[in-house]
Parts: sequence; structure tokens; C-alpha cells
Amino acid sequence: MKPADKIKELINKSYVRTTPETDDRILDGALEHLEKLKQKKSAVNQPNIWRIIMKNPLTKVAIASVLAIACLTGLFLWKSTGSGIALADVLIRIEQVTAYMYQMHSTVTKQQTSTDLISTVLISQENGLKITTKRIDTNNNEINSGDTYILPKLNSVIFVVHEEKMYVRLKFDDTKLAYYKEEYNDPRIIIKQILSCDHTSLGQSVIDGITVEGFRTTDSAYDGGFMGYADFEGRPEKVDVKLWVDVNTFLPVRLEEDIVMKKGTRMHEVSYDFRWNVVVSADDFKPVIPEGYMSSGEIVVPAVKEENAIKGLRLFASLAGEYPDNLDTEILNREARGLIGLVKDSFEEIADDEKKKKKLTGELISMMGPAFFYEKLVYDNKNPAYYGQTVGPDDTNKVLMRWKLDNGQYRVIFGDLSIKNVTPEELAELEKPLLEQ
Amino acid sequence: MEDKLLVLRCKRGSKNALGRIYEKYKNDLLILAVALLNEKSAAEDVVHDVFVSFVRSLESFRLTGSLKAYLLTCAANRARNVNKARQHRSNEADPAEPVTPGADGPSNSIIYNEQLRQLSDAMAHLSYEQREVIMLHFQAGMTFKNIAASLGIPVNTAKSRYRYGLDKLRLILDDDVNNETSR
Repeated sequence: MKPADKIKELINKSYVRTTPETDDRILDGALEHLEKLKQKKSAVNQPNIWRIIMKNPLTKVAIASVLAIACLTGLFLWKSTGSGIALADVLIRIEQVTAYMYQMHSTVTKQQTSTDLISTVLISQENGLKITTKRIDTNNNEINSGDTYILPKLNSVIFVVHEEKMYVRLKFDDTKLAYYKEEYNDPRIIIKQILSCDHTSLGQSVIDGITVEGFRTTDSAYDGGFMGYADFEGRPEKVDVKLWVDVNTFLPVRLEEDIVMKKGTRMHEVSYDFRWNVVVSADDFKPVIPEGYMSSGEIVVPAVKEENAIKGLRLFASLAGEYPDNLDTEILNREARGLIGLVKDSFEEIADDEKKKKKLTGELISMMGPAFFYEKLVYDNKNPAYYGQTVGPDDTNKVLMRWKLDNGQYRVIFGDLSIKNVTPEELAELEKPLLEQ
Repeated sequence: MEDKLLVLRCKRGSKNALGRIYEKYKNDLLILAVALLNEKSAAEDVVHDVFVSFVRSLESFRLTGSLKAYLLTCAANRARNVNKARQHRSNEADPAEPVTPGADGPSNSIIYNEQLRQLSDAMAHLSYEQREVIMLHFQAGMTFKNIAASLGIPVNTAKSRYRYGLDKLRLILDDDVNNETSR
């Protein structure tokens, strides 16, 4: 036998047996580092769908603008301070306005680098919302940055990113859009947050010849419309928000916000030049997409419901062999993208690139279903819990996810994705082994 | 595909996935390390270091080729360092106290079969550089071009190490066969 063949044979027939202690010893250091890696990955912020779907920094700007609108809406809702104007009255007045617009100058300073943006915001109760954003470059030139359209009638949000010559369309089903409309625009929700903040009256003043009354909060618990920002940059740590309201019309004249987020990013925004009851038509909200702009395809955002959560968990497990460790939308999105990247070769039979992209995006969004659902459960105070870190597809009797129902019982999704309603006592028994781990 | 998924799951911090990678490749890694170093405890240390290094690099790790080849190359690199340290110690040691490269450590935690013993004994007669090229070629299935690249040597050097190594093995293995037949 040739030496090469002999060596091959010896290698092929070689065998090593290790004891469990040896295996533990060999893997010991690796597992320790893996745990550190895991802890590092877990230290992330709360989720937000916008950040997840749109990774492009310019679309982030557009999204931030959308959230700023919600912020403004929220600021209208402070409780009365005993001064001449009750903010609830301001809210009532705003709701009577069919359409309005204003300018917003934002300076975002992150790691000593500032970005200046000027946005024109147009809001119509009937047609939706349009934001046109310009970036101010270092030579003080205004550069068309992006346009954002929120179109309730079409259940769509469209981002046009001029600097990249591309556009993205998010298509929401009824549930999803309703949910986000509620999250960012429903006064009842935002009132709950604002009312919890300490705030003071700044007394009367004059702005542009208009007599105004001011309100101020420095309460870091302020969450107004900054939920989205919090997702980008952590919670607000330093807050200084001033709203000036016309004492005659009860409508806002100027809004100043200076917020430092936990990650150190500072946002300074001034909203001004409010024009109330402007005349608008549906055409004003018709998306303008310049010729030659690339579409990144329509992203259909599925309904936030149990069924889609289970569908997403099943899909994830079929690719990864286990469930996501947690349902933080950022982490899940990263992992889902990784999985999609791995399986994209299996889509090779689809010749059409657009169709392929659509299918891959569909799979990705589908895998995000559990995160969206969990986020909603948290938001609705349904006392959800998720145990994907320790429960796998073979764990028939272990609780993978649960949340409280209106009747006091708990809805439980088990490791095999079967579902059952249980009493709180039964749930306690079911969760005992999980909590002991 | 399976390896890519396992790596992805490791990136997510899955101990289970790391365990599966270990189970899948520990045999290959230990065989390589034993064949290169001819010592059980040193081989165990090498595989330990390979996995620690693998997990440490996970955040930026991207699997572009075969995970097996990647791990085996890591093991070969680690083993080379061990061998260098061993040579260094050997040079500094009291000449009256001979170093026994084939001596196993006190641990019996790694048990291997007759074929691996034969392989390890045969390899011990080659220079370390020859063993390295032969093992990476046969066990990791690496081409000479890839071996040369990973060792930072010209391709022809890798080929000549392989050739001279095999020539030497022919004599050793023939002797073994003769010894066996004469028993």
C-alpha cells in the first residue's frame, strides 16, 4: 500500500473517545466566553418596528420626523397647571383643526457630530401626513433628504430617500396600522404618559407679536412621542420641553425640545410657523417619486396577532432548529436576517430577482411576527412572558410564551406551538421549572 | 448549510449549538492535535484553545468556507505554537534530562484506538512542518495552495514538505509492516 493511502486509512480509522469531564474541561473556557457574548447581546433597548424595517440612516431621519409629529401631538396634552389655559383645551382645539402645517428645525448631535434638518410637516385628518425633510450640509446648503407619507386610506407608509434615489413602501394590514396609529397618535394613550410628568407654567410672553402662555417640563419620565427615539437612542435622561400656546386661539405657536438620550445623543428641536386650518387636497398627499428612483419593494407588515406570532416562531424554528432567545425586535431582526441570508440559496429556483426579493422579505417579516405581537402585549399590559432561551420545539409541555387574557386566565403557547388557556394557578405550576432554571 | 446555522446559533449565544459543533468536530481536532504533537494533554489544550478562540471571534466571524477546515487550521496553528514552545524549552533544558515528545500526560481522559497510535507514532518520525502539511492535506482536505496560504509559505515548499514526509513515511510504514509480518 502506498504511504499516502496508508496514512489516509489510518486517519479514517482513527478514533478518539473522551470522557464527559474532558469535554467539560475543553469547552469550559468557550462556554464562559459564550455567556459573556450572550449577555452583551442582551443589553439592547426596547423595540420599535420602524427601526427594524428601515435600516437606512436617511430613512431613519424620515422616521424620526414621523415620531416627532407624534411627540408634538403628545405635548398638547398636559394637564392643567392652574394657569389661564388648560392643555386639555388645547387638545380639543387641535382636534377641531382639519389640516395644519408647521416647520421644524432639528439638530441631532451624536458623538460630537451634528446633523441639521429642516422639515415641513403637513397633517390632515382626512388624508394623513406628509413630511418633507432637508438636510443642511456643512456649507449651509439645503439638500433634499427625504419625504415621508403616512396614508391611512391606503394603509401605507412611503419613504422617499432622495439622497439615495430610492423609495420604500410599507403596506400595513388594518390591525397593524391601527396599532401604530394608536401608539403614536391616540391622545388617550399619550395623555397617560404626559400626565405622569411634573410640569410648570412659564407664564405669559410674546412671540412674533402673539401673546402666548408657556408650559415646561424637565421630567425625564416624559415619554410623549419619543417612544421611537427611545428605541434608537435609549430613554431620555435630560429633558427640557417648552410649549408656547396662543392665549386667544389656544393653539400652539412654538415648541422647543432639548432632550439628551441615554446613549448620549442630544436632540434639539424647534417647531414654529404653525399654520392652522390650511386648505389641502388629496393631491397634496400623493407620493411624488422622481423618475429613476429604485424601489426597495413593497414590504407588507402582517397583522399583529397570535396566529402570525406562531407562524413566525414556526418558521424561525424550522430554519434555526430552536426558537429565538428573546423577542426584542432588533435582536430578532438581526437573527432573522442572518437566517434569511443562509437560506437564500434555496430560493435560486425563482428566476425573477424582484420575486425573489419579495419572497425573502416576506419570510423576514413573517419571522418578525412574534416580536410585533409581544411588543403589542407589553403595550397592552397583558403581562406577557417568553421563554425561548430555555424552551425548544421538542418541549411539548413547557411554556414558550404566555400572556393574560381579559377574563383573568392566561393564554399559553407551548414549546410544540400548541395553545391552551390556563388559570393563574395552573400557569404558576407550569412555569415553576422554568423559573427555577 | 448545517454548519452555517450552527455558527449563526452560536453567534446568538446558543450553548447547544456550540456543543453540537464540538461533538461534530472534536474527533477530527483531537486526531490532528495528537498526530501533530504526539501528546494527549497538549492535544486537549489545543482543542480547548481552538474553541475559546472561536467563541471570542464569533461577533465578527463569517463562515466563508468549510467550518471543519477552519477549525483544523486553527488547531494546526495552535499546535505549531505549542511545538515552538516545546522546542524552546528543549533548548533551555538540562541536557542530562531528555525531553520525551511522545510522552502522554497523566490524564487518561482521551482514549484513542490503535490506528491513531500508529498514526501518531509514524508522524513522530517526521519534522513538525512535514506532519503539518500532510495532516492538513489528508485530514482537512486542504489543497496545497490553501495550506501554503494558511502557513505563509510558498506552494512549492508545501508540496516538497509533503513529498519528503511521505518518502519518510514509506520507510517507517514498511518497517511496521515487516515487523508485524515477522512476529
